Amino acid sequence: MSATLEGRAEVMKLARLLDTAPERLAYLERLTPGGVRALRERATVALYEGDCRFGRIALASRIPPAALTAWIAQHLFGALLCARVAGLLDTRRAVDLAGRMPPAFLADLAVQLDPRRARDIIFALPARLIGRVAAELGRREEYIAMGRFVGHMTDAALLAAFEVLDDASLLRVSYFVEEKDQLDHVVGLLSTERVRGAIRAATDADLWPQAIDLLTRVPAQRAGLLADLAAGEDDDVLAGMVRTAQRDRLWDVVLPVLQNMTEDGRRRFAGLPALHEPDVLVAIVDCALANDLQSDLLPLVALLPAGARQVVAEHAPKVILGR
Amino acid sequence: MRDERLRAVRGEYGEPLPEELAALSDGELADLAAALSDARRRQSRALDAAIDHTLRFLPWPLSGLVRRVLIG
Repeated sequence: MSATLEGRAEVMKLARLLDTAPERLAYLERLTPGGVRALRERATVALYEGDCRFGRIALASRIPPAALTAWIAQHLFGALLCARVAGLLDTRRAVDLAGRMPPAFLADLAVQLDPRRARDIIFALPARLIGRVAAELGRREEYIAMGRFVGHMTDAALLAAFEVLDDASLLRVSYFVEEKDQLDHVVGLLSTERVRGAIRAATDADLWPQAIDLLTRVPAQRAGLLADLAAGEDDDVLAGMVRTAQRDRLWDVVLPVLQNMTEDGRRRFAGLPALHEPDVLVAIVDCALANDLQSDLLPLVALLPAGARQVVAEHAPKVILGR
Repeated sequence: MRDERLRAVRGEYGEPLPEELAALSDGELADLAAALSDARRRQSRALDAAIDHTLRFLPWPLSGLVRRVLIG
């Protein structure tokens, strides 16, 4: 993820936790994303653990019948306070209460919740209910909030969420997944058709920065598989990727992926007219030379048509000569 | 002044804090401390109100039982 976008997402998460406007904390975008995340960790501890009454509320919530407790939680406590207490509840009781609340309220609660503190509850919630909440969060375009939950859901719950989110939303959520080591597994749960849909959405909704970012956050083999699926798309879809890589200077991300593509996929990529524009070729070669990626560049150059190879040869003869 | 501002942030957020906070101005550090302090105050007030409303809403004898757990 680009440092700027990641930093902005972190500031948004902290602002939400502190119940303030992200603009107020805009100065934190000068810090690294990791620095803002560390601040959020500290603020989370202060807000979740700074009031001993949360523990007493969790105990007291066992006394009234579940239906009454759910009503009180929704109407008298509200989403923010419920989010603070949720992780302290007995898991079975929490699941029972959640089942009595409307998805809109659970979506409010999810936006405020630190999923790490309610992991057992999230795992125990029925997938169907999670699907309904995901649909509500999708309608609200709460991609950052959903990204925080991805690493804390069962496969059944993830599949239920996939079902209700469109392809572009999946791509947007992937950008904000916090548990990066889970991303490969999550992508692996998607059907080939959904991945193809997300690739098309990258062009239709101008989400290639998110799609290319995804390639950097999954293992090389998975990145190659995804790129091979992309290679099966029409020229105009792939031209969107070339335009984004060129505009955002992302060739250092794209080039290594070529190594893990099939020969057919690489050939398809090398044959793209959008790639043969002289300024694109020059940018690719310069990027490869600057980042010591010649070994990733050579197989691509070998597959380029004669005219494009000529452009590369004139710009950097040693690349063509393999020196 | 600067140490005082950093101390205020530390007082609110606890430790460890990222070293890069030193790059923020005095005013920004003061705002960062105030942002969490405001949030805590709002949260505490919301909790007071929610507990108060709940105890008034619950019928006897539930209200007595819940009050004993919440307030002692």
